[in-house]
Amino acid sequence: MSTSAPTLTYEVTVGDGTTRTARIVRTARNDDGVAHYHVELLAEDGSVDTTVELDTIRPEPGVLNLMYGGKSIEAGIVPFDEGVDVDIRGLSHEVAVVDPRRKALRTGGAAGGGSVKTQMPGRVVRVLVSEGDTVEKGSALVVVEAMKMENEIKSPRDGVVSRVSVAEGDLVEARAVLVELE
Amino acid sequence: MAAKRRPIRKVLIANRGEIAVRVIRGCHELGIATVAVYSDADRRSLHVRMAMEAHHIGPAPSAQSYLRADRILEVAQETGADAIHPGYGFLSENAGFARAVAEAGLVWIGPPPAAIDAMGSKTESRARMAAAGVPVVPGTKQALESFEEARQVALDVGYPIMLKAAAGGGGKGMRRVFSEDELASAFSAARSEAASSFGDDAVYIEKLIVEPRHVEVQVLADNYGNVVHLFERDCSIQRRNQKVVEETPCPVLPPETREAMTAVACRAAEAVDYEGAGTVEFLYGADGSFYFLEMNTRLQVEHPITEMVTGVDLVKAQLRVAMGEPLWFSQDDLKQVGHAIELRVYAEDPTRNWAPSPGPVPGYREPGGPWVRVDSAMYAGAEVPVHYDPMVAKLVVWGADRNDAIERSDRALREYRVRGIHTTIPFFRALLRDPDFRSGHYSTAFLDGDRMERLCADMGETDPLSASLAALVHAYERDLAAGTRSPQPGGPTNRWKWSFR
Repeated sequence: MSTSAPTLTYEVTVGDGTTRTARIVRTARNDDGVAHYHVELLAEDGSVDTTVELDTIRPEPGVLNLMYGGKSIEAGIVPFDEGVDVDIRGLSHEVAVVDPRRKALRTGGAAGGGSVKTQMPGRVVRVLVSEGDTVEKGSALVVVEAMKMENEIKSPRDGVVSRVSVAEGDLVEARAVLVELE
Repeated sequence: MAAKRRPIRKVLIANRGEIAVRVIRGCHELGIATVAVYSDADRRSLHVRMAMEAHHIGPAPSAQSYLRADRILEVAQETGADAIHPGYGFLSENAGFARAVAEAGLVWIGPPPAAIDAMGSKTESRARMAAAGVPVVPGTKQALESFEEARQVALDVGYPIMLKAAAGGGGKGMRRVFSEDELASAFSAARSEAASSFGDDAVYIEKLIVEPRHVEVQVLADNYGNVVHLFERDCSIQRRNQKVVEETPCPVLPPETREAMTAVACRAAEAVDYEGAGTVEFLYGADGSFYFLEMNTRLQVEHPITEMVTGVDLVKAQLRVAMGEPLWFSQDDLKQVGHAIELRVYAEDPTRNWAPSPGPVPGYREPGGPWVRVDSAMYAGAEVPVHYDPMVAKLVVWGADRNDAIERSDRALREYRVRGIHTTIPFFRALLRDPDFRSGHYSTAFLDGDRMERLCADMGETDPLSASLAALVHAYERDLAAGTRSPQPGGPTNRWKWSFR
């Protein structure tokens, strides 16, 4: 049994890689949970670069099994903000999937531009900088403790601290913003 | 020595996570009722679900829950438990707690408090072991007064030697010296470094163990003076002094050294009137020498590999010894059969400098099949709290020989799925491929420096296309379900066209 569905467009970025535009439409969905999709990845000039016919199931919570081109891929799916952390063969891929129209609405596309985040949840044990401080790439900004270990969160670049978003003793979630850089 | 039978009908497990689950399993096999304790962070933890009773003991931080000896003892008495099993970590090597348990009229499932005390202090245990004829790393703990004294001590100990800062640690003020002509400059360098690092220029000399391995011996003693050993475990593969992989037998231990080392381990246990399960740790040098390091007076994390090759259930053995049962087998009954490997699954991300990776685990599937065992407290829907140790599971695999065990371990790792958090699983696949690991020739320095980087880079190819596709499907279904998106005008793809493909 097929159900028709709309085509949606997204901007997709894997890790620090280049951002690509992608179109996706569900072409079929069966009673047994098998769903088919047609995906087009666009080149920079807007032409279709790669097309993929996908066959998918969701065998258990948090898992998507993909088949395409004769391959079977088990993907662990953990959503965050506007993205998905995809685990394939134990390796993580942080994929940002953004609606281009919503992105246009956001100020200056501030997708992590000036903010330093913590990868792990934990407790802030020390804040080493304050607003107005000049920091160098690699210098420690905040120390977050998780699982009995202290972890220094370092500055990704040279800059000036425009805002400190956490205080000592705060509990922070994964990907929480700790410090904003100018 | 408590030499009388005492039945145990209900055990309180003063621990959490995988080891609490392990102890509960041992109790249930013996028909013993179980009481779990838990903190605010652990209501959903598997040990709470598996135990027959469970009691809340405090907020998430260990100091306010799993280390609250008074509160745990209170729960034991309220629930009518007649024994306490401490697991490892937390209160397991706290002689004061062991005494309090006994004074409350309960059975402490562990060695006598005096044995914990004797082995708890590095200097005291070293002195007692030396007196019992157990080899300790030769050297002085006294500061050297002069170069002449250093020269004499180095000569007595024998080169190579290590100069160490008396006040120090962390490698500062340490010098390896391989011959006497290097000694003078190393001595003055170590002293000045010690002075500038610790404000004290005192240094001492210890024998340098070249490319040491960490080899330990499992012992088991009853309350009647019978001591047996259950052979060795090689725990040399460590990261920052944390064991990562263990195996048994040690791949390079000659039979005569095994015999000597296990005999010494039994002597060490006898010297402190040990009871129950314990582990005697040795440094094993490339030259075949071995030296006492310390004794762990509790059940060890890596105990399952010993269980796999000997067929002895160590938790049940602890319980039976605690009930006053004399050992039901002799040394001659014990054999090492095949090979076993343990891989410690940590909730850490090897691709991000081993950053802790706690959080919810929405999906989880353990490997199965022949001779594969997983000791963990994980399940789909569990959460790894930020408050405790990052070790979340132990993959334990048995093989007919070492190569068989390695191949099976790799196969099991392929099957192992942990969703939502990052783990060391992909790192282990790279480690199992390492030629030096394969050959069995490695030391405690195995994961230092270059190799760690190389292994982390060798965890496999990322798959950005598949990841993008999975993320797109997820976003698409999410947005469709939420009704937040409608087809974009001007899109060149006609949806009707697709539906007829």
